[in-house]
Amino acid sequence: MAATQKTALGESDPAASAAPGVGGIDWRYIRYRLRRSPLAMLGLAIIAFAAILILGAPWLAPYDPNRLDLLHRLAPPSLAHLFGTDEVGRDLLSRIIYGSRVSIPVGLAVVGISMGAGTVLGAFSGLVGGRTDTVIMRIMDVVLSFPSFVMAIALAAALGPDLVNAMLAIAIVRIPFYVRLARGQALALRERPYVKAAISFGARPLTIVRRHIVPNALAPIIVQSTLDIGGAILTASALSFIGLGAQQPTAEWGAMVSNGRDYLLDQWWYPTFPGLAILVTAVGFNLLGDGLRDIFDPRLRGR
Amino acid sequence: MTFPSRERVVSSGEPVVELRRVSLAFPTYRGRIEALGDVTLAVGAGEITGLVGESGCGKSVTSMSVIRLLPKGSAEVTAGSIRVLGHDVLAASEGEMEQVRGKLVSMVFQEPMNALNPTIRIGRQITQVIRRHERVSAAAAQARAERLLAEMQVPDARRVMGSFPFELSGGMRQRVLLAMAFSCDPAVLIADEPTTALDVTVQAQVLALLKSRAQERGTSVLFVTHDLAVVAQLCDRVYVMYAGHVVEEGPTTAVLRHPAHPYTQALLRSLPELGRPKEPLVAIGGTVPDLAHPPCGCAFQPRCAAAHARCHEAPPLLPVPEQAGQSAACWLLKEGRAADAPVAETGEAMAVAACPRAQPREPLLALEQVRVQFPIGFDWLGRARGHVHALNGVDLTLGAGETLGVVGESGCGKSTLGQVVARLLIPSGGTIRFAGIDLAALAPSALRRIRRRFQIVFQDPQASLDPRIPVWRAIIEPLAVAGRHPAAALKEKARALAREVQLREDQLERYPHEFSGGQRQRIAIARALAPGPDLIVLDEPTSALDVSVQAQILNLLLDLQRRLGLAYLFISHNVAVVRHVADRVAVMYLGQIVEIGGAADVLDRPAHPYTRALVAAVPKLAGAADSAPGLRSTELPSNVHLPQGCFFRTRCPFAAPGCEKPQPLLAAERSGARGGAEAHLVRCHRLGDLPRGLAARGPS
Amino acid sequence: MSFANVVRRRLILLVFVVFGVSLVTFAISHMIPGDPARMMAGERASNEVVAHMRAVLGLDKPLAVQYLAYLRHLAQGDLGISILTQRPVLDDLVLFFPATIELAVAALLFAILLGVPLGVLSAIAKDRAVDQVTRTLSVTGISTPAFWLGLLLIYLFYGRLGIFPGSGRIDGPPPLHLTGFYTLDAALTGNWPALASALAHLFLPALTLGFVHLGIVTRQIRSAMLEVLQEDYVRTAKASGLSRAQIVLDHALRNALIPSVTMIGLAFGDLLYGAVLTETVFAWPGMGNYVVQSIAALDFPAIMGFTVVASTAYVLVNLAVDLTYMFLDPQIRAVG
Repeated sequence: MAATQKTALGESDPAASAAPGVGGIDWRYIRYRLRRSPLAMLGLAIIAFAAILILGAPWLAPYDPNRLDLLHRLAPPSLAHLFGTDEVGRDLLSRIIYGSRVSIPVGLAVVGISMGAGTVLGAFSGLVGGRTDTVIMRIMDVVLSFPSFVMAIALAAALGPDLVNAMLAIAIVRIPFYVRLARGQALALRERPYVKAAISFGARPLTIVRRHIVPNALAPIIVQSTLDIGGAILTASALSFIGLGAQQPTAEWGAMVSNGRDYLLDQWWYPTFPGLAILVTAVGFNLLGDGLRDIFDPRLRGR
Repeated sequence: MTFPSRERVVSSGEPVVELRRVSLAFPTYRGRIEALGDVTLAVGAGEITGLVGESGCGKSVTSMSVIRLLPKGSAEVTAGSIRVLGHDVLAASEGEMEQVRGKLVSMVFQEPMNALNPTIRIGRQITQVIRRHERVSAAAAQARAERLLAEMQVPDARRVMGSFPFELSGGMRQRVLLAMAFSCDPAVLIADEPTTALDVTVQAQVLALLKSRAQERGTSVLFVTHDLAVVAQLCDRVYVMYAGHVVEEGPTTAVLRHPAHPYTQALLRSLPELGRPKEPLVAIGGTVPDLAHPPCGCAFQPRCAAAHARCHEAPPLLPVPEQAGQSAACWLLKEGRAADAPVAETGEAMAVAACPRAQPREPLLALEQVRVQFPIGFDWLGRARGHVHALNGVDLTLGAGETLGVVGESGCGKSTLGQVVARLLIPSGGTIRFAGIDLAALAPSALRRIRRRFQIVFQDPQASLDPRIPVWRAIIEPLAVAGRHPAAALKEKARALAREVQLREDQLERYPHEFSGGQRQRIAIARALAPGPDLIVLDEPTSALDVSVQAQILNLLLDLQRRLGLAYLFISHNVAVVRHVADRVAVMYLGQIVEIGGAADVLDRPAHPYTRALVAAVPKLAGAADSAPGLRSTELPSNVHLPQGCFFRTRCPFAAPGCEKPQPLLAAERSGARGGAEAHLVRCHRLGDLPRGLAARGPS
Repeated sequence: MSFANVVRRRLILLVFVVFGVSLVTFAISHMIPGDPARMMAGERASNEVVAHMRAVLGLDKPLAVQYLAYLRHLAQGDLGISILTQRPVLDDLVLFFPATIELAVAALLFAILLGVPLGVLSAIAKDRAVDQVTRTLSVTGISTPAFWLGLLLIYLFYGRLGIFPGSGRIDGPPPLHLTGFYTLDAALTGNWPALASALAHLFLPALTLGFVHLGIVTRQIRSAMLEVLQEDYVRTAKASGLSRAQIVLDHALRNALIPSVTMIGLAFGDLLYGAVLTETVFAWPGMGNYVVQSIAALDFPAIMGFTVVASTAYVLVNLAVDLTYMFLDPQIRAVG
């Protein structure tokens, strides 16, 4: 019941000086909230661990991920091969470590593309208003009405089975979410008294966008994109799983699960460990995103 | 443990609610906030007890702690006891508390808009409470709910029972909440600022209702408010709180007539209705202490002119000599000194001798038949479904160095007027001339240049400052966007502006959220001053502020006007504030000016029936306010479908055949017609034959 | 906005969406590498045969004409012939449609029946152990690759324990065709062995798909409840002495469910996505399995037909969700 406390204490309320949903970032407040959110800290730790894997793969991986060893095909987990080997004797642990260099950057790239394009388009649409805005938003309505995964399948199938194509397909269908978000922010900020004040002393529209709108609209967009990275990683691996993404011999987690599927009943470890890598990474981004949303969402503030 | 029936307690003469030395804290990331310190308070049987103080003083926390409404994890009672009807609330189980809440003690809150569940019909919300506490049939509960609504003067109670909350106005919802609160005949009603969100005319009616219903039933009331005038009107006893402490208590008349604590005295002096018009109000210097780091000893000591060595110890409540039942927490009483003198000195020390202001000259601003309409919703072809008529032909002039006050209920168009004058809204019709120039005829670049001569200050100083920009940059922003200047020069300019509004120069690197509301409003004013304007539109500049801070800001504004020759368009719903600052006053109703003229003419001798009602509804410290201002209907008519003829006809107690004729023009008030800008003009058909006298009572 | 207005707006939108989808699928089928005429005719067909095939397919006409022809066919329900099955794509989809819907409904029921109570529990026990466990469960659900969870369940319940079948919809002959939903058909005809078999086959796929959505439902209900629980009217209810159950289940949940209907409804649209993967893993004979096989065979008429049908269904589901939402919210209902 934060509202209770707020009215009761007026300006002494922590929320009053805390990070608002749209607006300034009080790092002290964010640290305070993150420290009290063990799940968000766990997410941060997972992401840090993944970053170490990506950067340190050549030193951390015990084997060359593409080295064939036909004598040790489908070996069960052992000290020599912690996660076992695949059907041509490649070390699964090494392939999973190297796989982080594929799956995670793909997720980041997907979100980067859709966020970048969507934010620019949305902010433009919201600020310009009028007919341009109407046309852009109606097109986005139509695109949003497409089931995104189905469209990604159709696009990826048409572009040809390839990881970059899969990435583009996922990114394109996610653009409208950011357009809506950024437009909403622009519209809300346009009505802020400090923007009106800027208009009243004659600031030009572009100055207002640069000084007031962009910095203040960023927080919710960053929260949304953090939440999206996990989803993008899942979708990319799903496309790889059905054969539309990464192709052999790329060490990609979804493709590894797909290959391992044929050996499921006798060599359970083969599909299990790559899938676990996807799960853990997605959990990491989702936990952090949840935590950030709790911090920035004014409706959830103070809880 | 069971709570006793109310009859037994009420007859015993014991207080029905008793707090003894209660301390309460909220743990937060800034540390523990000591919200209440050693609060002792009692509500006598059948009494109306006031609890008054500025926001953040702990009055709402106190009231909610009586029925343990504060969330468990976030608030901790660290000392003391709370008793309701003689039983310990802090020791009761949650199940027992559920039996207390609503049955023995009920509560009404400030925001009637959100206090009712939007998806449940009114009737069910009331009967649910009745049937929760008493074994009655659904039909009996239904009948009782209907009767309660009728008692609360809800017209057409049966229909309202089947309505959803959004179908009712704010005043109606508050009546529903009162009906709910009285539904199980509670021993105590806690009312937490129940009328603060309502318009002043509705407030008067709801207060009268609350008082009479409580007296009929012998219900004790704990009335929480920031408004001393409401306390004067309603309460038998009053507690004054400051920074989580009770600083003074006693019979209402005694406390208001002979305040013993320097804070109570200062609070009373900062009220506009007590000051002489145009003279600086007696502001309380400094700000409310940060309760995360409370001061040692008396909490008021840092702001108190009479502070001395002893004040580093916390003073207990001491009886006030010769005033039965009154006590105050101030060491001066112990030493037998009259607490009066030193604070009066502060007042004088702060007061700068007022000098007569320049007489209004040529109009700086002239509005002619200005109209504003907003389309409401579009059908699927993109055509407007209708229009909100926000301004309906406004004519006014404002001279250089002059203050024109604009008053009216919420929704009357006064804020729209401010936005139109600041050119944030483009009028749908009419002309606006600033210094003789028609603004509509200007090219964008010329408009940007002339904009620098009229600025606007908004109600909410927090929202009007970009939270991500340090204060000094916010202040000089108007200069920075107008051209390139060296950073050092801008910083120096920011310092000069800060001095102008009495902000500390060493705080300019900070961000807006680090300042209090009053300081933020100073920042907003400094920013408005930066381009060197001739006119500042002040849109409810002090409405979000506490009374003592309000006085500081009003003084600052008057001082700036005197030194810089500024003209103000001062928009406020607060009649007393406008009376204090304005040279002339315009009263607005449904997007029209219904009365305009010199401040004394309009507000002290109102002519238009609407102005009379508005002025009569303002609570006054001295004597009972007119609780029945004589409006026929308390709700504003829709501004989508405007009434025919005189807009006020539907609520006017003097409406007669003929009022439905085309809208009357502004006609000169006979008694004080002087012509020119000073003319007292009234928009009324029946001006000549209205009954004289201030309290215009209609057939009610 | 009124009821009729929303229906009208959404139907207009539907036209635009189908139009947009048709444009996209048409563009895609002209972007694809390879020559559809040659594909239809076969690798070793002579050039004359291919040319003839091209004329039959209308591929020698200008693009605009081809598109209009495509639209005309779409309007007649003609989605082309599947290269893989050599049957009309629409017939194939009609055949596989009920299986997908059966799976999606079962998964959604699972997610709602478990997710709503969990979300409520999590909200009222905020930051306590129950809440932490529930939130971990819901984040795990959202982060789990459905295809991988399916494999694990097959390994465990079919491979190791052998208590559930690992693939297909039913053992033995399907029940009499009434609705196409095997469980419903079997129950209606009193065919108990078929019902048992259909339910056993449905269990693991529905659990897989439902687990992902359990996370979405729980998270949504939790955050909606948290928001509603701090509303002033909840404070009023508490101050009136209503019981905790009345406050949580009547006052709060009622208001939390309204926005959640939209979220959960949209999630139903997304079930299609999960269904594609789940069906692949469990060899569930639905549309998703069909489209994945078509992808492997580069069967473009089938892929595009699936896209058109799935998109249309998606818009219709969203329309139904919006109408439900408006019906539930008295404020909107009153205006309509």
